[in-house]
Amino acid sequence: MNEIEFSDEILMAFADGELDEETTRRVEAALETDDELMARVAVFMETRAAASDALKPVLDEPVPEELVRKVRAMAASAAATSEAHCTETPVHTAENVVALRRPSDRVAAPARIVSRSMMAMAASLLLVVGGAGGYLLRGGGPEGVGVLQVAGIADPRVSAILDRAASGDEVSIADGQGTVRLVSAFQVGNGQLCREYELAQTGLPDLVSVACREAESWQTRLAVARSNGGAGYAPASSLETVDAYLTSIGAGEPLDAEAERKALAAKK
Amino acid sequence: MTDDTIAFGERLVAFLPNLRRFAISLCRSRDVADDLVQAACERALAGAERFEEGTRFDAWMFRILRNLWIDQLRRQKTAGPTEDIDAQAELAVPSGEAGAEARMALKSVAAAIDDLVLEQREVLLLTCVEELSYREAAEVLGIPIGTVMSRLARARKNLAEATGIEPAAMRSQDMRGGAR
Repeated sequence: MNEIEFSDEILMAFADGELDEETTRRVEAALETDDELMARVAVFMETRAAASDALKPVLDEPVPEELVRKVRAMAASAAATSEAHCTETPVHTAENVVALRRPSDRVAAPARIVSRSMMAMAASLLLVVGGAGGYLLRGGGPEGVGVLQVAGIADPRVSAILDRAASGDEVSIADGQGTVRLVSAFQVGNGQLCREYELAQTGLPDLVSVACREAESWQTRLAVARSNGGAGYAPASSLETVDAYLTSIGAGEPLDAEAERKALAAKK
Repeated sequence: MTDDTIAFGERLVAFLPNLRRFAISLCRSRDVADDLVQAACERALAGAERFEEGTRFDAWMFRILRNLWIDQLRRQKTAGPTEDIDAQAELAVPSGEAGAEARMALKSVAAAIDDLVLEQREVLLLTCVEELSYREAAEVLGIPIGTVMSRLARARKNLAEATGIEPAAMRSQDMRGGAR
């Protein structure tokens, strides 16, 4: 009769109590006469209850004492560290971090929900360095050695490696002056292919980089000096920075080997 | 300041059961999960000042842990195809008084959750198990709320199919959870 089509998402939101008032009223009205609709809603109610019930027992498991002990120890250690740091200026590890972002990214970026604190974290860690001359790593070791140094456009030799090497491979560059270790390939929101890789060069700090494929080359988006911080509790690790960055650009899950091969082969 | 850190640590300890449950379902292994939980706590402690009071602590922790896990998955790829993460589910099965039938039914739900692909599993865990709102789940996962909804709807339809929760069968059954 009243053939209003409700999508699964709407019925699910109704079942979860997440629907706006007006739509809720419309669904309720339709439910009075439509058993089939009721059954569809019921699936969402029932799956929620079933999932919740099924995993409830895990909550009652005792947490391994070892884990509790370690967390307490880390808290104590962090407390001690923060006490030691109190007299110093607040630590912001921008020194070894450079974000490489082209101005156009700002325009192109679609609206994305990234939590504010995540963005704040990324912002506090990333030092954005602009300029037509490219982007140089601040404090990044001896100047002039930087043949492979990070710039807006990845070094052609690195680009070539990013184009074909599979994740997991380690490829040496520039007659053994450096190596590129491919970590992963993934797509960002707009379908652009990006890769995470580690770059080791003699005389320079190791970098964890993210580069994305443009028409002709790979564009380095982020390069973070890898902290070799040992057992200490660094205020923020380089990998955390990479994580925050990847989240902020809407990085998808890493492609599997097959998908990666295809994506790499598909030149734009 | 330092007392705050200790207090923060205790808050973490109190939250460990939930964090661990999320981790276990995420990586489908208790051993991996406990390491992951520990690493997440370490990061949380290092970044405690970034937590905004008044926002959900659980969502904040889930996000840290989940990002660590995604990161680990990325890195695991470098270890080649030995990826063992799909190995074996070891989710809890209720014991004790619960009848054998109930046990089997529940086990199949847990197993069906385990069988979901990661992107459906994580969104199901956050909303239906940990009771985050769609918006909160979207923030944890760094995806739009519309994506949360479409993944969640698919996850639940898959779950219903795998466990025999059929629309038709529902009419005569009691509807627990209907009040939510």
